[in-house]
Amino acid sequence: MRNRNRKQGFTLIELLVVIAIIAILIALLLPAVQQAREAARRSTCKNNMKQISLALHNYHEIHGVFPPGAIATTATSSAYNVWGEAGNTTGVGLHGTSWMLQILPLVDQANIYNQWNFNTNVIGNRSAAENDIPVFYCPTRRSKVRKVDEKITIGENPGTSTPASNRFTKGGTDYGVCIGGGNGWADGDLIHLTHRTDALIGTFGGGSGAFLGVFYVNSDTAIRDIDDGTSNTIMSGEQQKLHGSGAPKTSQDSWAAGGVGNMFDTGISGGTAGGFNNNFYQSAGSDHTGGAHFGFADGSVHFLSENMSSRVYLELGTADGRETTKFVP
Amino acid sequence: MQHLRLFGSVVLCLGLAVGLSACGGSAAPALGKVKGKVTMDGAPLADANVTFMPENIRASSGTTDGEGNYELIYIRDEMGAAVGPHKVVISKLVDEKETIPPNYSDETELTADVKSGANEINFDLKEN
Repeated sequence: MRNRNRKQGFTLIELLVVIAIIAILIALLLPAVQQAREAARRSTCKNNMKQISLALHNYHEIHGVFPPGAIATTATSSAYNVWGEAGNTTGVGLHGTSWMLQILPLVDQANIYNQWNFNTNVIGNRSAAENDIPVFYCPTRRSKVRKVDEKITIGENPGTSTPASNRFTKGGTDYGVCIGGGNGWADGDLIHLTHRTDALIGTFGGGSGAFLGVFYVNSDTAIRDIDDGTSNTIMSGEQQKLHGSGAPKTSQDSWAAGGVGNMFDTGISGGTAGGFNNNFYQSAGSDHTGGAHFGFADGSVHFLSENMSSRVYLELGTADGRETTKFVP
Repeated sequence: MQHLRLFGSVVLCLGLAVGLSACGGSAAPALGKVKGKVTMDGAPLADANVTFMPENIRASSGTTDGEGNYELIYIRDEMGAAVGPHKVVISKLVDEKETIPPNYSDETELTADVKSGANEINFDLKEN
């Protein structure tokens, strides 16, 4: 006989305990899942940097030199000169292109490279330049920082303090190459790394303390020019992207246009050591926790801590700084 | 007995929440807050970049306002500079050219000692 008074099912307390246990399990699991996702994004980013490093080395194998950091036909003394040339609607005879265009065939993007008309500049090649290239994007940055409403900053006729009009909606990048320890924008006509003397640096290019890195505007650096040693020299890295009104609060964004969108320096304001992830528009930095990836001239990619010595970081940016950097990755 | 079980599970939840939130944290060194005033021949120096460079640690920097006051930022919204001795560089670029005499900028002779807690460090520069 069944006892009608006997309780069936769970009591309220039992139910609450079960719910509490499930809640605890979810609470334990959720941060772990998020961390695993972030770790995956970080390793994708590191892989992108490795691909870019290999492409730069392959370019060196083919041509005997690394690609020019940017190609400009006008004298460049400011960070925005190349940028202005890239977006100038006059077009014909201008360039303003970046190193990223040069390595496209080496990162499986030969189709875009073949579309490119080298008789005109970036805005003249808008249909080719306005394309998202996955290997040029850091998934961490693009998953949270860059929202849909943030347009790519290249467009028509950008100026030093005026934004471009009719801006691109695609074709940004999170990676850049290193122009050295100072914020000088040299045009490369007069000088080559191996012929460089410190007396010339002051009169040449842009800001004071312009210590040249592997890349600069119209550069033709070969591995033999990297006197500091390839494992002691930063070749590429993640670009810090700042949003705001005007330099030094805004960073530019475009893979095709050369200059501040995909070149950085390892100093701040005139060659002062300031580390990365700082508030300087022309600096490297990332949205990963605690540091950023850097590609070295020997082809290796390291995650550097943002708490590292700013002086060592500054010295890593120069290709021919003659300093004795004590760097252990 | 049932109340005890409920109480136990609540304690366990709280314990886990506290334990989990205690995880993480950065490897930043000990910091002291630093602010002060930069003057050039007695007059406030505006829009100059002040950088404190310690040995083997990340540098801190700040920009002076209209009255020459600066406050150092270590990284992002973390204020201050590493505790210990620093080399100090004061730089102001106009059209990407240095306008501060080299003994304060490129070949600086300025130094400062940052202690834990609040520091006020003023600089009076002399145009050569």
